[in-house]
Amino acid sequence: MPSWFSKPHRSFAPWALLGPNLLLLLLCMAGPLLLLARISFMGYEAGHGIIPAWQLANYKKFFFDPFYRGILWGTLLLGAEVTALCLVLGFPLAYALSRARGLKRAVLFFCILMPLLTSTVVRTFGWMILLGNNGFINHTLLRFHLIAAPLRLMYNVTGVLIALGEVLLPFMVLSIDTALLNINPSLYEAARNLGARDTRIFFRITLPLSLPGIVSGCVLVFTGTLSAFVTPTLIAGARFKVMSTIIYQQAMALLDWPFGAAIAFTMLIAILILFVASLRLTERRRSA
Amino acid sequence: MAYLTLRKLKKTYGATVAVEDFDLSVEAGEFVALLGPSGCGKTTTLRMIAGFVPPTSGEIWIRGADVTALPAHRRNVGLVFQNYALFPHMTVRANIEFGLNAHHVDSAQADERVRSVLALVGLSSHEDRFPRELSGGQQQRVALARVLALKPDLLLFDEPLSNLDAKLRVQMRQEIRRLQREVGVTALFVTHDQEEAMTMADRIVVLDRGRIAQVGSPAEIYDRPQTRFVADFIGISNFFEGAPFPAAGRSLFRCTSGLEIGILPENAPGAAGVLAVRPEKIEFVSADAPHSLPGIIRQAMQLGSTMEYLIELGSGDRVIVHEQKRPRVTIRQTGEQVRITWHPADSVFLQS
Repeated sequence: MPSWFSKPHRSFAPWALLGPNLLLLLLCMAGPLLLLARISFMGYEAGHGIIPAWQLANYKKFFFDPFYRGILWGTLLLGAEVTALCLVLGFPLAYALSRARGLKRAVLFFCILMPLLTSTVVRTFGWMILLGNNGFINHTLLRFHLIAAPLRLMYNVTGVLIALGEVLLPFMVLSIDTALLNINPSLYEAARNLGARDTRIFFRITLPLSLPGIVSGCVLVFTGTLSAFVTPTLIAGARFKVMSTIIYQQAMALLDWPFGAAIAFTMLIAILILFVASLRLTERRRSA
Repeated sequence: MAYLTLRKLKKTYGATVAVEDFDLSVEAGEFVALLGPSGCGKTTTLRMIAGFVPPTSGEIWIRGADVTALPAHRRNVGLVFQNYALFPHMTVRANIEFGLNAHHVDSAQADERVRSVLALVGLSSHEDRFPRELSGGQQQRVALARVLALKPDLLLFDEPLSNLDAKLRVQMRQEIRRLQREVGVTALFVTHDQEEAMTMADRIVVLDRGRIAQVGSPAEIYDRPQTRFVADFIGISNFFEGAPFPAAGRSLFRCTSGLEIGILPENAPGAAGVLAVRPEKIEFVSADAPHSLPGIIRQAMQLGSTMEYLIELGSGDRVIVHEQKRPRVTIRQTGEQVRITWHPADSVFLQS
């Protein structure tokens, strides 16, 4: 009798349980990605389509053309801005959530999750109604003579920042909330007992111990921003382009699949680097 | 005035009373244990002294100063937590420095204090370790070193030994007592473990449902319990309910079960109450001994160095007797007919 059969819980069961998921991932994710990776190294000619010849032209074009490089930096900067916004707004919210108990926590939790309960398109149209030149915000401000001319909130970075910040905030809040809840409450009492005031407790105990949650929240928000498509397309329109809009444009409008694939892969690698770096940051803290 | 004084301390949560009528004076250098079952209010009392729980009423005085309204971080009272509460992201040294920094002790002096407390608890070579790299006993020592570095006015322990295994616990009892004596700090030690309280404390405060049941030295608490709760909670006691009544020449104690006991402590008043006798105070005697009580051994149990016998008296009362295993003392068997007695001074009369 083979050994894996006599000790099913040791070697067979985990694979059997992982199997379906693994198969799905392999077929529907790793497979297409490999195909896409291959295409990104192919050529393209208008009218002919994909030319099956290995080359680095697509990557060269992306990294050396100032237009595309500008979009790369613009996208990364947007990611950093949305992340910073979510962190600044999210930490106090997570702090309040982690302290709340019972019904108060349930209500707060629901409110924080609200943005995720609406479809992206509907939510984005909602923001357009609010942010437009004749939108609710400008209309109200003009009416009360708080501003002379409408603020530019749509078709630029500001609008995308606001709309993406709103939908990605829950990821930041929930990550930090989990980390804060993991802190043993007696540590706060111990710190107070040792003579520390609130500010010292916050900067020496609360903040460092919630760092794993801050890091994972930042990774989630940053990758969420980079891969967002509907919101930047609808709110920024043609004026402010990000990588996902360029990928769509290249692949769907211009049918230049190789170039689109190359941009997509650049984005994937950027996210991967960030992910590994943040993982190492939290791992080192844990093993230190 | 005493070093630490608690006056009419009271804490209520809504309608439930956690602590009430708590009056206690502790002298400088004393080691006092707060002993009681869970929910008796011992931890609440400790947390009131540390400043984490505001008392409903009453006062807390430390070294002649009223600290009742003082916030926790300004009390200079060191608390050792049950789970040690070491900061997991800081080394042993950083854990100790945390309090010194909060008190703005200059770095040269802080360095000196860290070194000396680590030497005191025997962990000088561990200052760069993180708490998770230490054993339970070592973490305990760091927690102790961390509060001792601040030279606290008062040291508070919240069941600090309950997370350690049995052998280490006994070892740490002596260790904590040695350190407390060496430093000369006044200490309050909360525990539900009577053996811990007995072996460590100068004085024990027994708590029962938020009130002080008795305050006294370990010997007083054990030999002279003042309430049935104390006699029952500390060690084992045999209880006989009934009332004394005068008989020819001397008084007798007549139990509700009908049993008549001729051995009475001198202080027994005329009112109804409980007679309490410790199992090891009872001895087996021959049939002709005066006032001895006849019975049958229903159970004989090994307790290691001691035998425990469960004896059923003629009246149906059951009595537990502990007898040391010694040379020439034969172990008795179940079913054996015996007579038991005790010295009048070894029984205690308690008002019920």
